[in-house]
Amino acid sequence: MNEELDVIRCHVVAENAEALREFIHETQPDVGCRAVARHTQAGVGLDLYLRQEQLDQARAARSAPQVSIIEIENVTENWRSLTEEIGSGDRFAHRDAIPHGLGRKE
Amino acid sequence: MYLNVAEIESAITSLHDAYPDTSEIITPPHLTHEGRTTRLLRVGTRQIDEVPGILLLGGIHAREWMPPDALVSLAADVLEAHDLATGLGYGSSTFTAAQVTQVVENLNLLFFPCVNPDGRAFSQTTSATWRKNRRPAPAGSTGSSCIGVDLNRNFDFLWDHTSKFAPDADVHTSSTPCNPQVYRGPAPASEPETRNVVWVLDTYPKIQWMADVHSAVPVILHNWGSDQNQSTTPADNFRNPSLDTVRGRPDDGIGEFIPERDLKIAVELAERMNDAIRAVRGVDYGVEAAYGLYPTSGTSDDYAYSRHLTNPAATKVIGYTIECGDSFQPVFSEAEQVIQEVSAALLALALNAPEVTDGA
Repeated sequence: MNEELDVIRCHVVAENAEALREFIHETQPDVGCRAVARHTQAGVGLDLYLRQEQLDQARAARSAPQVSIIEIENVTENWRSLTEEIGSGDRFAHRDAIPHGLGRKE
Repeated sequence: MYLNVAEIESAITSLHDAYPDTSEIITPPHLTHEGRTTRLLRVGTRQIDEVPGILLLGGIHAREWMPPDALVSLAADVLEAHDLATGLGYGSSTFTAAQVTQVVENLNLLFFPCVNPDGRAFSQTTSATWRKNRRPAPAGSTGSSCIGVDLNRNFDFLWDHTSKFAPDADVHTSSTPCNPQVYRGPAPASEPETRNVVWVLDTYPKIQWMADVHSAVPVILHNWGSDQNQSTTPADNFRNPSLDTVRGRPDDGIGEFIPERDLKIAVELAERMNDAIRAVRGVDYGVEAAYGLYPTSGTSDDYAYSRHLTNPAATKVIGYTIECGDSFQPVFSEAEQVIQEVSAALLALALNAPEVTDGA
C-alpha cells in the first residue's frame, strides 16, 4: 500500500533564524506546508519532515551543532494505523444521508 | 472518520438536496489530471451577484487531510443551524442564531472543500506525505517524485522565482519537476486545479475575501508571502522589475508594498479569527504575515490579493492561509477539535469581514 520510506517529523530549534536557515539550506528537508518558524525562549523552531537516512545525514551535517533536533513522530507509521480512520465506501451516497457538522446547534 | 474523495463530493450533493433554498452547486470547468470533476457549494439565500462573497479553499495540499473535512463540516453546520434557526457552538466559541442568519442572508460562502482530489486519494491510499497534484511526470523523467505539481506554487504571482527574486532569497519553490514537494509546474496556472480556483475568482467578482485552509503549524497568515511587508514605498512592489534581483531577502530594507489600510483590515480580521479559535479550547494560532523563514511565490493568498493590482477591474480580495492544527494527519478525535477551531475562525471571518473592511 505504502510505497515510500518512513518519514519522521522532527522539531528543530536554532538560536536564531539565520542558523536555522543555514541548517535547512545544507540538509534540504521537507519544511512542511509553509516554513513558519516560531520564536520561543529556546530559540527559533520549525517542524521538518525527514526520511530516516536524511535524518541521520542531518544529524551529521556541518551546521547540525547549531541546532537541536527532536523526533516527534513517525508520520508514515501513524498513517498506516490511520487508514482505518478514513471513510470506506460512501457514507453520503444515499439521498437521505445528510452530513452533520461538529458544531452544537443551540 | 476522515472523508474520502467520493464522500466529499456526495456530501456536497446531499447538502444541496437537503437545503436547496440556501445552497447552490457550482462546477468549475476543468477536470483534474485523473479526470475528476471538482465542485463548490455556495451557501447563502441571496444571489451570487447580490452580496459580498467569501471563497473558502481546502485540500490544495493532498496530505493535509483536515481542511476538506472542516469545510464540509462548517457548510453542514451553517445550513442546518439556519434551517433550525439556532446558533452554533464550538467549545466556548459561540455564535447566535441571529449571527448565523446574518451570515447566510447577507453574504455568500463559497465552499471549495477539495481542490486537489487526485492528490488526496493518493495520500489516503498510497503515500502518507504526498503533497502535490497528480500531473503525469514529464517525458523522460521516472520516479514517483517526478509526478505532480505543488498547486500552491502554481498561481500566477511572481511564479518565475528564478527571474523575480534575488538569487540568494531561497524562495520556497522549485523549477525542478522531480522536486517531491514544491515543484511550481511548467507554467503559471498550468494545472487544472489552479485554473479552477482562478475561474471562481474571475466568474464571481463579488468575492472580497478568501481563506485557503492548510495544515499545520498552527498560524493564521495574511499577505504578503513574497517579501516582508512595508507601507511606506508604493513603488517597491511585485510589478517593479528593478526589484527582480533583490526581492525576497530578509531585513534588507526593501519590502512588498501593502497599503496601511489593507494591512489594518487583514490583521484585524485575522485577530478576530484567532480570538474565535482561542475560545474553542485555548489554542492560540497567532497572526503573522505570510513571509516566514523564506519568501514564497505562486501561492493562492498572494495571487488573490494581487489580482486587483495587476488588473484594476478586478475586485480586491483579502487573502489568508490558515495553517490549522499541528500535524497533517492527527487521529480523528484530535482532528475533530481542529475542525471546530477552523469552523469558529471562518464563521468569525464571515461575521466580521464586511464591518471591518468597510469601517477601516
